[in-house]
Amino acid sequence: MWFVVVIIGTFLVLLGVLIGALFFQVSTTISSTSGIIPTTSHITSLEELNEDGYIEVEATVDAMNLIYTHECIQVTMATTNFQTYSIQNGIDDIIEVRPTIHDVVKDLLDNFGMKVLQVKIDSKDGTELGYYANLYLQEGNKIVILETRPSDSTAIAVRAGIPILFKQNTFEELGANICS
Amino acid sequence: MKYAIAALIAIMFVSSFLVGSLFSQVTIIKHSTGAASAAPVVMNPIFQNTEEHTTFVYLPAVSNDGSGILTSARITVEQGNGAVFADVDNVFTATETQNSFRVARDAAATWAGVDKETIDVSIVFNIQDAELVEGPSAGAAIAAGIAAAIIGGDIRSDIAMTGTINENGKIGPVGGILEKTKAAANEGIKQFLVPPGQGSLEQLKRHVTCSMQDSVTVCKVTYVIKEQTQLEDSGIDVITVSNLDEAMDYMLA
Repeated sequence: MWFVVVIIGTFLVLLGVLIGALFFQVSTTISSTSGIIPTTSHITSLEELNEDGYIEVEATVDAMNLIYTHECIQVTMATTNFQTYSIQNGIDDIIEVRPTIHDVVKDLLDNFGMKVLQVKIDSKDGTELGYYANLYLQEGNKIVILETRPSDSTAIAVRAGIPILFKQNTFEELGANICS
Repeated sequence: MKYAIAALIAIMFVSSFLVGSLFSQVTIIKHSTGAASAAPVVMNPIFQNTEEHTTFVYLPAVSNDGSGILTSARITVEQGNGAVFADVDNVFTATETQNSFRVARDAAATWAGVDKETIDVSIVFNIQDAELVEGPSAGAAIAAGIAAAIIGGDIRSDIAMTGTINENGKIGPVGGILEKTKAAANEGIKQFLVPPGQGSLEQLKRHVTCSMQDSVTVCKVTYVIKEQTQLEDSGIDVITVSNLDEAMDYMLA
């Protein structure tokens, strides 16, 4: 009698380990490939995520410049060829030869279940020398706001398919009118 | 007795389920791609001498070992068709550096009031023990050299400059400012022109703040000044200039 109980018990232990492993493996893979994290109303209503005072801009590049455009206003930021290359690849949704650091960062975010929520660009001192970007990330009930170079955040934003927001008064003050 | 055995088996099953779950939390994703390749740089070798003027400008730089060095460039402007030549006999220049030369030519031509398509510019670096010049930080000094050459002037021999430049003549920030300042001071340079906001060197440190808002944890990572070093402590007169026009007031002999 006890021999049978031990055999059944051992079998059930092994079965439990196997089923448990498979169950969580599947759920981890789903969340890492789709990047879907539930967004609660608590999170979307946070003051930090308020978009008032910001406008959505289109990011493009030439060989050495990062260009943000909204209607007739354009802000150009000098950067390196590596950054423009990485941003263009992100816009085109391609990876050439090897992944750039921005491809790797996006992979890290996706596979650790972190969602890219927002990119907001502004100037610390109201001049072209003070440009910076805040990158907003979410993992569950936690929001992380990282100060970054605009080019780095832009490279990640175009990979995540999220809008790039620019502080409106800074954009209009420092941008050039391309329609006149 | 039977109930006890059934309960024991159920507990063992649930426990093992949880153990199995823990083992499976780590997922490994691997990148795999091919080898990199490099694009060749092709330049037009045709250079016709007509009327020309040559200037020399000092360019502080940072070498591969991280130390500052003082290099110089010989800049010649002559009548032409809008070409910009960079000498590759002694040292190669990276694409972003070549681009900075082109932008510098544009800014200089605008400052001097000439059509950039009517001049040719050649730039020859005097630099020792280097194979490649990288970065756009010589752009402002190159622009000053080109501007001086266009008007037939010369650059002072006791002044140096660092900074990027854009088509409108605005001077932008660079790296390695402390090393460059020391190199210029050690070589006897009296005045060093630097971009706005770079008259002192700021080292930053990471600053993290977290707060709870409606059951959501919000953490913000910013970078604040850790320490500030005044460049003039290096024994040289450091002047910030924001555009080419301001720089030319100091640079012209």
